[in-house]
Amino acid sequence: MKDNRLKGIIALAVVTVISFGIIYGSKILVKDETGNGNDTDNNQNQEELPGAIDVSGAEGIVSARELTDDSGNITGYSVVSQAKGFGAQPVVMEIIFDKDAKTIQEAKVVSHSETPGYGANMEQESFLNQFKGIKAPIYLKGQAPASAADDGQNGGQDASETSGGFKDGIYRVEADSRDNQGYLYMLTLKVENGAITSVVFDAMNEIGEYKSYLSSVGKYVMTEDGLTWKEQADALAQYVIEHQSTEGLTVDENGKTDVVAGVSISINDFLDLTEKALKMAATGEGAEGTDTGNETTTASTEGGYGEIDAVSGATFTTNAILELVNNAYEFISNYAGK
Amino acid sequence: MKLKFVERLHGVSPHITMDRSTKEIMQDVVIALTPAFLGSIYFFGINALILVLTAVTTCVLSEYVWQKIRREKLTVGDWSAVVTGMLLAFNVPATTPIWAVMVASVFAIIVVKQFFGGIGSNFANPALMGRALLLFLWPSTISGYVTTYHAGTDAISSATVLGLYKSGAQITEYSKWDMFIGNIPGCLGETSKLLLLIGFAYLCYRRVVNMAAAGAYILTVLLVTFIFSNEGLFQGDILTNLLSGGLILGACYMMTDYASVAPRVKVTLAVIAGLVTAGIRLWGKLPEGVSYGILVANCLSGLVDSIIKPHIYGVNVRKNKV
Repeated sequence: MKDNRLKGIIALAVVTVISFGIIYGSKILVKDETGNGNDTDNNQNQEELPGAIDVSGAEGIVSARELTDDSGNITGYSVVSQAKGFGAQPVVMEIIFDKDAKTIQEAKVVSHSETPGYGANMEQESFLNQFKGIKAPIYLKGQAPASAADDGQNGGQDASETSGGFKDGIYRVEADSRDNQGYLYMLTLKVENGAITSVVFDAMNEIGEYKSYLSSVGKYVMTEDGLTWKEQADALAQYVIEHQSTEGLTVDENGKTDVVAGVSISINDFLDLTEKALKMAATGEGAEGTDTGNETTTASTEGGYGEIDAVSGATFTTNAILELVNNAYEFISNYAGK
Repeated sequence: MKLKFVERLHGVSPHITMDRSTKEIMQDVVIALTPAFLGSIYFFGINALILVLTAVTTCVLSEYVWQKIRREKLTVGDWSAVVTGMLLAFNVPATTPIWAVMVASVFAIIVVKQFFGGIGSNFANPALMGRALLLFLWPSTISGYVTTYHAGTDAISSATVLGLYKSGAQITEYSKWDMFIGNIPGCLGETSKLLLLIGFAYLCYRRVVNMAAAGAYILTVLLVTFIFSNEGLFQGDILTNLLSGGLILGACYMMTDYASVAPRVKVTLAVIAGLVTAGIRLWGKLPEGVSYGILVANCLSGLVDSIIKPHIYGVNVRKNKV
């Protein structure tokens, strides 16, 4: 019996080692395939195709090139840019800019691993069509900062003149654990020119469905006649944008507030996450997209902006698209000297 | 009267004794779980090691302290608490707080195992009961699934493949190969089917487990989910149902435990567990169902045992065969 066990253990050990070899080997194989694929893409964009632009050191930019007519005149720019969405792989899109390096001619999805039925809806023609002809930088509808709107009309504004108490950037925070219904709360706070310009509060359940989406399509219903969860979350976000803080947002012992009209949900999670994000924004800790140099700021606020609808039910995907398009714009406008 | 009494006995003589002890069997199970344990560290990092060590240590200490307080015979040396600890840790994701694993371990050993008389007398699998406790009291502690480190990126929050499948989404991010080797979000020990099956092969070689029960459980789940899938009749994704959740972990290591010794009873219970698991996956709120399927079967073992009467040596012999 002891011999039988010893033989079994030896066989188990040998097979286990071989299996780990196979598992690790498959990782290397996949990496090689991916690497080869990327090399091919990059070569196509950067070396084989005419007008390739050096993108080394540009964060989030995969490749870029000038588009020219038969006479060699520049007719536009193509920028392949990527940003982290919800899936394991980044969202990669090709943005075609007009020769002014600001007007978007077209946006194409190159690759992504977003959730089908949610983030993957960004491939739909109706979503991509809204990029045609709009000016960068882009914002979600109704969330463009006042400074950008003014810049569009008044022709630019120095960032240093409007600096507030926060460091520019995008701050993402999420709850430490899920609530008793399995929802994980998350909040994205955007600071531009020192001011909070966007707050997105949402929650995701165990199978990746966003509460905002579920409530907007009637799958998460609290009351028949009141505001939906998404509308209440948006109202809370608007309060923070208007007041630039959570001050005055008092709650009772059940976490309810009377301060914002129509809001009946418990707002403890919202307050916790907002205050966490505000603390980060005060120091700039954990900021994404914090390039606040004058050149960049000027580029990103000059001459108008564009607005798009979000990918329904996919906050992370939407944020990734906003980030990658605006990164592409910053890169190409700096390159073109606009 | 005497015959009725005899019929109610779980196993009547003559008994066939085995030449191995509980300790040897439990050690074999620990050896069999080791590849999957190493795999969990590879896929989910140091958190997997910490959680498994926490669960094992808490289970062993709980059993030791309880038996010391009760002045009972110490059974810590039989390794069953180690098995419970490993299986419990295998049934939680890498983001589970340490305190939650400790609470579940104490509950599994003291309430589920020792309250009912210790090893062999517990009515249900202690590890699964520990998981059920967390699901009931603190569901958020064991719902934070993350991607693996295999792809070379940081672990990020993600829905499980089974969760995506249940929501009706096409699984494009993970291939069947990923599901087989374990490169998917999930509980620590359930993701790598390859490593679990290697351990199961060892248990079969050592004749420790009942292959029929494991097979009956898996086949029942696959058959029912294939027939009554959400995509339509006879359109279920067999491989996704087999490889994406905890079916193989449950079938190979928990459906085959020693709650009942009669082979026919084991297979019947496996079919019941399979029906419950498939029912939950198809029509329940949760995407999984292995834990509850096996626990339901555990709770019904006494009833099934009494319905499926064992052949008793020397009685109930048909006359025409005499």
